[in-house]
Amino acid sequence: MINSFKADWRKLRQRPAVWVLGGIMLTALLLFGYVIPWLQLAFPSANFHPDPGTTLQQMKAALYPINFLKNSLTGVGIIGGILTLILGALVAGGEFNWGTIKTVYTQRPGRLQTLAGQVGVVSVIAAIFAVAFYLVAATASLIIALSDGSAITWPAVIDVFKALGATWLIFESWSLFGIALAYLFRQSAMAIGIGLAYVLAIEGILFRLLSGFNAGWLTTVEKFFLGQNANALIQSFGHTVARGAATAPLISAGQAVTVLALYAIVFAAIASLVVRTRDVT
Amino acid sequence: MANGNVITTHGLTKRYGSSITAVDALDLEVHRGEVFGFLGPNGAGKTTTLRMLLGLIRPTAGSAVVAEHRPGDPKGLRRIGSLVESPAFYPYLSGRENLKIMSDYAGVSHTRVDAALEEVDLADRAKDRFGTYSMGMKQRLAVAAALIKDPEVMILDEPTNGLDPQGVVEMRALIRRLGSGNRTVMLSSHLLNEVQQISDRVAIIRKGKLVAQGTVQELRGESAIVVRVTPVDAARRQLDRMLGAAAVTAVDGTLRLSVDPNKAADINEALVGAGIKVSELRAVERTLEEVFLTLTGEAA
Repeated sequence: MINSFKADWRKLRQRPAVWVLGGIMLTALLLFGYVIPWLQLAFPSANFHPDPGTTLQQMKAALYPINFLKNSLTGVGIIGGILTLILGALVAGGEFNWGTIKTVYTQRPGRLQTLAGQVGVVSVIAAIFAVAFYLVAATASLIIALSDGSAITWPAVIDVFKALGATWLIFESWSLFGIALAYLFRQSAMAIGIGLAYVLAIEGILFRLLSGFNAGWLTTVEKFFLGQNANALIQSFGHTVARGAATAPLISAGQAVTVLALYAIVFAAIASLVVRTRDVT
Repeated sequence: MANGNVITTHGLTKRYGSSITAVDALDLEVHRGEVFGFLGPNGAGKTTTLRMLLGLIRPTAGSAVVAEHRPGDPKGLRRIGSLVESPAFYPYLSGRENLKIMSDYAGVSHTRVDAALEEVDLADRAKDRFGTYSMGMKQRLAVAAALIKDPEVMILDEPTNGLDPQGVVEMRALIRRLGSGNRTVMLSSHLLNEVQQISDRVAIIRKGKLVAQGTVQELRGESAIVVRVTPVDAARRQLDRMLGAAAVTAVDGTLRLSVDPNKAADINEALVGAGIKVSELRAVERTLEEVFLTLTGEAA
């Protein structure tokens, strides 16, 4: 497995697509998490009004270092989830697209060792993305606070580690979803297409439409979906700006962590099963 | 490998669904140190067989042993170098980086990479991206990837595919080098002339079934000399005395002599010395292509 890990690390650290995805994630975080909100607040237009129940100063404070974890976590669920799903699909699907899977399988390692190496490297890349994510968020929040002349206060170190762990788990479960899809469909394009369709159509549109029916069974079903649990874990860190009375969360942080970890295990098991049993044609 | 076979298959079979039998009860034996040609028309089941030997696909029935292990066993794969169909590497990486990755997978030192690149004459282009390589260079890189393990067995599937004539000549020379010494090379190809020149033994399959297996000489059959002489009766008596009656056969006004073609000059001298006029004397040897076309039913 160590040999497979070394090979995959050498391969993926030089693969442009990996770092392009990371770049898109960080650019999206900077633009939508800091630059555009700061421009809106620093140079408010005549039509600009703070959210109901909040002040302009409260909204600005959301961009300061004390809130950098909560502020950036909102981007982890959707953008981060989609990008790491694409990462997983590209990593596993690329081997089929280029035909390199047969070259690799005939070198030496067993099929499961090859998969384990691949999953290991994707996990490391997910961790690198998570660390980079918060480094960029912390730097941006620091620059904004300094430019506003605000006092610099950071969140507790334990909260930083909790956020890093939660982010890594979310990235990991989505990337393993992408890997499982790529092995099932033996290509990256179909895996990405179906993955995105799932995220947008099932987790996004369908649940939003069905929530209008206010059906109890739907709420129960929702608790076991990947995206809903990722969002629940993110929301467990709280909001940067309090909006109205707090309501009990649908899914607890503990349950979200359990369900996400189970998803990661199930996706890895699906990929293992496919890898073990399928012919390489 | 106590029996001297590096590759053995017994009843190896691959079916797809209930109607397609790609490989049908194949029994093969590849001896240690030989270059073994594996021939068959397109769709005969050559690539499917080689994929089964490498563990890429699982047989429906039968068994195979390659380098003392079942196909796909990492211990066996460590001793096998292979090129299956078209060479496949990471296009965004250089040839050298690709080989380093393959040596990581194989669990061998990177120090072998440069030697392998030298062996296939790719050292000059080792820094260039694989995506920029010509077909011949890609094939040679695939051979280099197989060589970094210093394998006992090499399984090469159509290694001359897509190569220009110069590339074919270079690949043939490379395979000859690879097959020298104790290394065993199993080579599938449809270029019969190539196989005839470099193989010690060959197997021919058709529609998934083995139709012949043996040395090239065995498959081509005995070579002979054909003479056109006058008078035929006197010549026949002379040749019966010289070669034995069993070696002389009359065919369409000529005499077919089952002897080594190197004896042509002696035979000519004897006939002329006996006052017999020799208007034609030629060696007759079936080519592997003729044997192949006959056995696979593709002769015109």
